Amino acid sequence: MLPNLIEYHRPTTMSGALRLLARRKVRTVPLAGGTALVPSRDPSVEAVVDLSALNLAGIQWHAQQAHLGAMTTLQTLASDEIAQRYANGLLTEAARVCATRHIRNVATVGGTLVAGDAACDLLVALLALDARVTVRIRRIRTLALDEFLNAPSAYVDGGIITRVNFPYLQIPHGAALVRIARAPSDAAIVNAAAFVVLDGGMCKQVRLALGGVAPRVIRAASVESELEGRAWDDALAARIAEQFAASLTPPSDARASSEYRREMAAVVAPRALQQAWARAQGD
Amino acid sequence: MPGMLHMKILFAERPHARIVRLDTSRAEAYPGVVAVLTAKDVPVNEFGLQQRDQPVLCGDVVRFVGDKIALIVAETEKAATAARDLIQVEFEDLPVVTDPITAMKPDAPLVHPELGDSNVCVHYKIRKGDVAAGFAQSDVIVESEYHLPFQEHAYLQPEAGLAYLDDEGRVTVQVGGQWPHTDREQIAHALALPIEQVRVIYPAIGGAFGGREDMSVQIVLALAAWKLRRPVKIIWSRRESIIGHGKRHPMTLRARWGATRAGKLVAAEMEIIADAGAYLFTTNKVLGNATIVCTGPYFIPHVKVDTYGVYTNNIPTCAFRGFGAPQGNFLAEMQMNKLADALGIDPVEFRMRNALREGDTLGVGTPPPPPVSIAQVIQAAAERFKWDERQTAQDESSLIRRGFGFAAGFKNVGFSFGYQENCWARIELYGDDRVVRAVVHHAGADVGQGAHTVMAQMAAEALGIPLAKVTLIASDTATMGNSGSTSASRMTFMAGNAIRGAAQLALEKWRAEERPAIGEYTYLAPPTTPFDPETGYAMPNFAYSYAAQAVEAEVDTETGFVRLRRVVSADDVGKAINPQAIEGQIEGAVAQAQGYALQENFQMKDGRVLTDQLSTYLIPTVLDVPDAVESVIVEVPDPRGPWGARGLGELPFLPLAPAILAAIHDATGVWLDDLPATPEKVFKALGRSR
Ligand SMILES: Cc1cc2nc3c(=O)[nH]c(=O)nc-3n(C[C@H](O)[C@H](O)[C@H](O)COP(=O)(O)OP(=O)(O)OC[C@H]3O[C@@H](n4cnc5c(N)ncnc54)[C@H](O)[C@@H]3O)c2cc1C
Repeated sequence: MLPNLIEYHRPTTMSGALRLLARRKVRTVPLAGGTALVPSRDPSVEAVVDLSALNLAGIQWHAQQAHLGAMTTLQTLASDEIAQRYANGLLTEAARVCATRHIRNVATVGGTLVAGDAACDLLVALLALDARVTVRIRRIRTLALDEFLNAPSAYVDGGIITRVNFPYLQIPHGAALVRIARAPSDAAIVNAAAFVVLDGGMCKQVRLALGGVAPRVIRAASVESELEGRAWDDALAARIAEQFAASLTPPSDARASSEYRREMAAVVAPRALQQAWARAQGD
Repeated sequence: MPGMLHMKILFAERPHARIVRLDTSRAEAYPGVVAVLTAKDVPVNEFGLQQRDQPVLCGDVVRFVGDKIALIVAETEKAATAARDLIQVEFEDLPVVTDPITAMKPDAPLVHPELGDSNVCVHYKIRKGDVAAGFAQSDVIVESEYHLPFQEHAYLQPEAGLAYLDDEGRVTVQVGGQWPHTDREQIAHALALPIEQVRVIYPAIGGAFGGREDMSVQIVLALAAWKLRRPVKIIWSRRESIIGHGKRHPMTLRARWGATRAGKLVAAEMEIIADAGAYLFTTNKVLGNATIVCTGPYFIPHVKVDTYGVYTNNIPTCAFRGFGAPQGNFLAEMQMNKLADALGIDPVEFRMRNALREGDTLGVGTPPPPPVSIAQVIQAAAERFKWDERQTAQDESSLIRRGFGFAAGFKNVGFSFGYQENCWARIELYGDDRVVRAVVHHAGADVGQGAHTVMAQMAAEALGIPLAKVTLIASDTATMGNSGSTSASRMTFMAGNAIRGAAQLALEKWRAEERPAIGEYTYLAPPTTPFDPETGYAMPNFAYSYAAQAVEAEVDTETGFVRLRRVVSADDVGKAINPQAIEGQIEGAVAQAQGYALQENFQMKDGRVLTDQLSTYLIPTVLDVPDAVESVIVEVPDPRGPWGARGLGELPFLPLAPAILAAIHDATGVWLDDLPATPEKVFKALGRSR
């Protein structure tokens, strides 16, 4: 629980919500599913603004772009029919493995971004899909998820994430999520998501994201740029991904040591790329 | 219950410290608080199943994190919790000892200076034959050191109970436990009450696995209800349960075994060091068992064993499914598989050459009571698995390697070492010319395994009436004699004999036209004897059960992940009274043993528990268990068992861990000697690091 909570608000307009969040005297934060905020026991929080009446939930698939409302629950995402198909179901799989049913029923996309868990399967998947985040403070700002994750709380301070969007491509592509966990129901030790766009035998786009290997989920930009524009070569992709992973210095914790995480990064990264590629070809 | 109060316990949360000052005044003043009880409120402040070495409430020294300091009793649980946090305790930390090998050293800090000048609380010796001569005759010698971890029982239901004064003014505790009569005795002792003043009732609570043998909430509930003359209830949280009850004994096991080229075992030398934790609990008995079982169900002419139990400031270690046999058996089966490998003999064949035959002596110098069925269960498991037809060729290009493993095991049924085993039952037959209703009274606990169902079945069988006519009234010390503990795989065996005896007496009275016809009977099992202190010579048990398992597993050589695919478990139950319940026990034991082998990683650091939730201490879920567990029920009747039945509950736990490690070796060529074989550990052992 939040020990010093004195106010609960549930505004019905965005401007009303932003006014509350802008207050200086009472430390006020957004409340989404509450699955990260409430157990945090953050003593600094004095007021919460429940975002549930702001119409921020829902998924829209436009011609080129997909929009995930910030208040979309992970369960809505997991059961969305297009998400189950697009990019080999990368997003729904990620939503399903990153939380249990009870948590998925309330945890939201926006809250997941701010919580910024370092091994979050959904964040890894969204990075691989090249997601962007829209934040509203006084003005509306859209920035890459990768940039946002550098300092989530700084970017949203006093404001609200309204949605996440990513390209909804109609050209041949493939995606894969590979995770290593102590048990299927446990949080990932390391994970990797890959997304590959084909053009003939050429790699038009490659994206690789990894979790559990750094203080936040990361994108392997160097791997991406080395592979893009080349003819796909399974062995080469594996080697480059492996090299990248092996250069990391991941944290140690009760789930795994730093060394094991590094070794496993060098396993999941090539596996994810190879699976994504194989699936792209199968399309 | 009307007027019911709620209790919270202030735990020490320190591994070793002296209480310098204890101030409960702010807690007592908290609204809704009725009483705060401390050491000075306990009439006889000591308890323990084997040795009264633990205070009910610590007033002087705390020896592990789960020691209790104060009881807060309030109108609501919330008030009790808030008041607990207002108690001020000033501690002076004492030196902490957590590694049993360090704790054995002469200069180690003492956990119980009042008990003597050493932390070693148990030492058993086996001296059979002449191991030096045995090793001289051996063509192959395998030497290993194994490290086995704590294991948490992780029953679904954390400790809970309700205490009140019954109509006759007896302090009554309703609680989940394993042996109501010893609970009653320990409560009466601590409260300085005559035994008749205390009543213990067990509702049929699930999952105990040994973890409910020792006291948790029983004495403190009774104390509060007795003092306050009001009902008092407590439910532990998962964290309180994990720090508050005992664990499976971690052990270091050193072994040196020799065999001839012809595949005959000749000599075995073992040293076993077990972490007893802060109090004795049943460590002396657990280690007795480990000492017997560490030769496996095999004949070895020359045996030397030294087993030590050592006090530390860790959580006390206690009974847990297998009661020392899983660790002893692990050693034996690992050695067997390694020797088979070194000799180039198939592990099943190697076991058959050494399996105990009737008259063969154990390490204790006497044979197990016949019939000995180890050879039958080994054959049954191998046949069902189709061991001889297994696909041993590896796909060299695959990162996933498949392996097969085999192991056996044996376990005593009933209490050992000279304890005169006994079990009480009463049967009342109602009706006129025909029995219309039979009421069976039995104090044995059902801990989720279906003991009460089996008791009713056995009563129906003994009386020759349909099951529907049998009513069972169970587990109330006020109206029943002592039926003993639901542990040591004993309840079917002992209760069956007691019920059969009571049924016979009741039927005699029925025939003599007594109405109701009442038969009351206490079954006494054949006597046993304790270890000779120098040689270990003993006739320790009156019955054993035997098991063997074959497994198929896959190892991901890039990640170290082990996936258990198939398990065949052959268990000699003597007589299958309820085959479905037997399959349930086998499947449950396999899941629990899989957790022990691969996943469950209980971590303590400097006497503190790092894995105090089920989110950090992972137990297998439906997503982890094997694709297939096949039970092969073997029936070699034990003439002393009811209808030939032996015991089962612990048995299928025993062979699995060594069988899995053998499968990992088969798949990868690497022996792991430590549990749990987590992916990270397997990965390291494979030496694939870049
Ligand atoms: C038992 C349990 C297990 C968990 N396991 C995992 C796991 O395996 N992996 C994992 O990644 N996480 C896990 N979590 C953490 C948490 O559930 C997730 O991070 C979740 O997705 C957070 O979403 P939420 O909607 O509940 O966020 P909230 O708790 O409501 O909010 C989290 C933070 O985001 C802010 N916030 C929320 N929405 C917005 C918005 N639209 N705009 C601006 N700020 C916002 C809040 O102010 C708060 O600071 C677990 C939590 C629990 C309780």
